[in-house]
Amino acid sequence: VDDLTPRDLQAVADLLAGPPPGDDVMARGRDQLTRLVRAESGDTESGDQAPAAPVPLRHRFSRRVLAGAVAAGLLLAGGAAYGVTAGLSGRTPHPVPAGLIAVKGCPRFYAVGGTVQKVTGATLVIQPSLGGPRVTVITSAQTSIRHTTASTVSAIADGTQVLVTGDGYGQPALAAHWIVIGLQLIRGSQPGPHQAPPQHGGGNVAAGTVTGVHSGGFTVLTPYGQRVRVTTSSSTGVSALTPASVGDLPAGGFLDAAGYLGPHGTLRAESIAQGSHLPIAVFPPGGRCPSPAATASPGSSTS
Amino acid sequence: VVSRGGRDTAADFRRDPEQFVALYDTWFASVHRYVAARLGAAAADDLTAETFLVAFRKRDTFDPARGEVRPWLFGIATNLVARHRRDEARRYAALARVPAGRLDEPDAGPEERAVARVGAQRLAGRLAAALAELAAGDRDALLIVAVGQLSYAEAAIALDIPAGTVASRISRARAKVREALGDDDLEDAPWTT
Repeated sequence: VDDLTPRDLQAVADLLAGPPPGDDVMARGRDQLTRLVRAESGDTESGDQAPAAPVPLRHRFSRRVLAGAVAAGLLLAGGAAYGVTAGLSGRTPHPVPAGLIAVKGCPRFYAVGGTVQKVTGATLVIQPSLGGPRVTVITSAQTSIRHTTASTVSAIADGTQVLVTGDGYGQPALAAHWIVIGLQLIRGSQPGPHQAPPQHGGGNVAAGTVTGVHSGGFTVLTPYGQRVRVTTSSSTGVSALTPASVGDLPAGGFLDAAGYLGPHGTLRAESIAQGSHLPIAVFPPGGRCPSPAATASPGSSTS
Repeated sequence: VVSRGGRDTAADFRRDPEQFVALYDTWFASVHRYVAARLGAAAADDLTAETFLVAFRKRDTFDPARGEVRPWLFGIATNLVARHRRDEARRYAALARVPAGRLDEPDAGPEERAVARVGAQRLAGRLAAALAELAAGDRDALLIVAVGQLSYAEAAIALDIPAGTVASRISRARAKVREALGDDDLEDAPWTT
């Protein structure tokens, strides 16, 4: 290193940082932030109708799901999808504990996304990614727990539940960048009369049931009755949500959990999705509130 | 209009949430560079956006009397980075293993190509290895100054520690980095002085 100068060292710093973010990256983040700002300002109407943010294409699957869920107005949690509203304002109808996100239209039903700090029996301690104190999540035998595994396009067949993110906002077909298999949408409920369906299931996201599988694509029938043509390519990534147990949720990993608020700020988990992330936005509710799951006592099972 | 780091801006965004978007436009690239240096560009795209979402949620906690907006944002970013310690360690380890000439190999990854792009690639590897060996707090202090280009006072605000602690952490980190780099001619570099 004898011939290296401080300028070289600064160049190394630049190398560590890589190239500056592109305009598209900034635009995506700005769009997310704008939605949140509008929600905070009570401008939920325009927030709902704003074009969906382009889906970031990341090596990490979880963020794809996050962006997709944001755009779709859906919260992915344990393989189920719910409409969510940000628990970020004192103006919300119900007080929302810090770090939790209220699921719109479902009193006392909340979601949290963050890092697993501790696993003790059936109980998880989560550090919310939105900040705030740690949240104790209690699972039961009825809790739907899923984790993400690698999959392929060939695993998609008619009837498969999917969430697709890709390019094609406003276009007749969505060019899929990433597909999540195993998403169970809205638990048999259709949106109410005041719940405007997102375009294409949410701009550059389509979520629903697969029909018409053919070489190079398929059609997604959304819960809103829309049909979105999806094209796939060799670069399309596919993940599947598959059943898991508490033991598959290691400390240090990310997960989303959704459930009813219990005593002392605990969350009795209805569903958990490992490797996911919560959206932060206000969207129309996605469907019927889930029935509360019977909750096990903490420590009643081993992880 | 947002001026860089202006305290009036801080007051504005706390009163008027719409101002926060302008704050984003001002500081996104700076925060992104810092996060990318620690976790890579791809992860930084997401984590930087998350930094601003968290900052917006916590905007009422911002105290203009303690300092300007930038160190506050970097503090939030650092806390988010801290949740990815393992990823950061893996990245440094990967960078440390990049051999010379890797650029010419067609399957070289983006980070590897970047490291190999300059003649300092051996240094980058050593630096990455040294960073991986640093205590988390020491690394936070060093990188927030060296890459984030915050002053010691700003770093103290960002990391919520006394300025003296910043100085001692950076001194300790620099000593280890200097030892790893093994050259006295680097005294003026932000990594070693």
